[in-house]
Amino acid sequence: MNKPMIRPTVLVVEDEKIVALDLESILRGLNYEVLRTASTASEAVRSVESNHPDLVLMDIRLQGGMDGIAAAEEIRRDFNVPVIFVTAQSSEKITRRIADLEAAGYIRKPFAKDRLQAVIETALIKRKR
Amino acid sequence: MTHRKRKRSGGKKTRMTVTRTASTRRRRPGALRKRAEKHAKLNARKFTGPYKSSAVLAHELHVHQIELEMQNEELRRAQRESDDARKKYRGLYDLAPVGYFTLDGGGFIHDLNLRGAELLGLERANLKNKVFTAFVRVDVRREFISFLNAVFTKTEIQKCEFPFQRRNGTMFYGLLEAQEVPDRKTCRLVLTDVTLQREAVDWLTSLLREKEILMEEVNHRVKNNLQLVLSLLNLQAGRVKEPETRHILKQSSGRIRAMALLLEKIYSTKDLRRIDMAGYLGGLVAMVFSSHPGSAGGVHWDLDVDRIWLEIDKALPCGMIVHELLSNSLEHAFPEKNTGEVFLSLKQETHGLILTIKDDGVGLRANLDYRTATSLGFRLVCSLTEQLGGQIEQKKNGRGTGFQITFSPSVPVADPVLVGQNRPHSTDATSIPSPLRREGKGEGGN
Repeated sequence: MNKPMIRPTVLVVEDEKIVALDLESILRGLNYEVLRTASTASEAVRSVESNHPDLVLMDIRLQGGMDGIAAAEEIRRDFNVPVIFVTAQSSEKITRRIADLEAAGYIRKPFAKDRLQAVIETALIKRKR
Repeated sequence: MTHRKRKRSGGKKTRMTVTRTASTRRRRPGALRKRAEKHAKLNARKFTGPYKSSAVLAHELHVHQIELEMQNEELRRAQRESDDARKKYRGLYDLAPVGYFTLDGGGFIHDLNLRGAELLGLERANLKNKVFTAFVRVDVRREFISFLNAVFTKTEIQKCEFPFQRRNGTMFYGLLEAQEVPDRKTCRLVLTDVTLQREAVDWLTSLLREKEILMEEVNHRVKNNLQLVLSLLNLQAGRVKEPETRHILKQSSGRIRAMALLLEKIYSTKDLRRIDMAGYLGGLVAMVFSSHPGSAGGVHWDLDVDRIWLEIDKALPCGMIVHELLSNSLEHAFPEKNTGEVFLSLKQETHGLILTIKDDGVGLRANLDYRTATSLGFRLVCSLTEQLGGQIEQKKNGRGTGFQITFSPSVPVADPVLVGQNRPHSTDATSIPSPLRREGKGEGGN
């Protein structure tokens, strides 16, 4: 009897509820396990600490004092979980901060499903290695 | 000159009128002698009797005396001219709107004008032999010393801007221009107060920064809102059972993406007025193909776009037309979904821009007139062509379907009185296109 395939777990960090719902819907359609969405950076860090997801999709501008990049730094440093940024921010300053962080991916809003899928798959393959 | 003893002729002082310039006489030393001779002859005295032998000597002395007096007159004139020039130079030096300094290699002030003293905030007398470096702001003194070294080691004029601080604590920004003088011990330095210019530049820089922040914010919000709309459409499409409705929602998403791509290009190129059509249409074609993975599987595309920059008013309708016609091709021209080709070009011709989109698919249904078709896609194409002030033409050349849109790249300036009158009339069949439809899916492919 074949073992049931373990679906990768993804945490969505997004404070726009409609966008979060859309992301969750797309991820489920791609057969990923989706954790409860976090809408602040600190909530995201706590969720990663307790749920240990395989991947985090992170918006940059979030509610609360900490932004998505700061949260990603913490998640990477303390839990070694890859983070893909999904953001409408595209300024030079932001892209430089993302590059310094060596993020697993960067997707600009409005995103396309095929691009989202490709970046997620690449990040998970890299993680397995 | 051999005669050293000089005697005034009878104590009588002779007045001379000198008309030639000193430089002329310097060039012709014999001329003065001739003039003195002439003058002596006119005022000749008779030497007779036993004094006759002395007459020649007396004459010589007389002429020489006159010559010396003329030289004296010349020297006095030269002195006066020199004094005048010196006063003039001093006046200009002191009243110059910039500070002039003479410094040595150690930065000690040897001389300065009044403006220089005013800039440094002290009396001129109190600044002589003081170190100029002491007035340069502390944190940049090392750079000033390097600047001064460069002045004394290089031949060309050295320029640099430094912040200065006066004894009373007030600050100003000064532009320094300096060059070593030929004695190689000092340099001439010009100090110009550029505080106002500096403040203006700082003000403009901060305005520019504010504008950039504002643009970033607007860009972020617009893209975020477009994402919200797309997410809503996606969520709605996920809950709809009817394929036709899902298709309509998908088409709407595609149109929004075409607009979002244009915005992305505008913000990424930093030119808010114009857009590089080669980059935009390339991205748009790739986007439309990736959003039709099933139908576009075996279809290739060929893009040929000149380096054309269009204003947003033209670029957006142009992009939307491409989106509609390309989507139409991918959805209806290749029902077998095996192979085919879509060709897109935008060329600059003498009579305007030519946008061509054609495919080698099954072609339009024989009885379909795109100008009267009712599908949203063709209605949009026709309306957007009208918005461009252009004309659309269907090209029937062998297999497939082709459309050619001709329009002017410049944005016409509309005269309020004539608005509407200069635009193509809606009843003109050659210029007013209307919806079309492809064979295979009936009318309303879009």
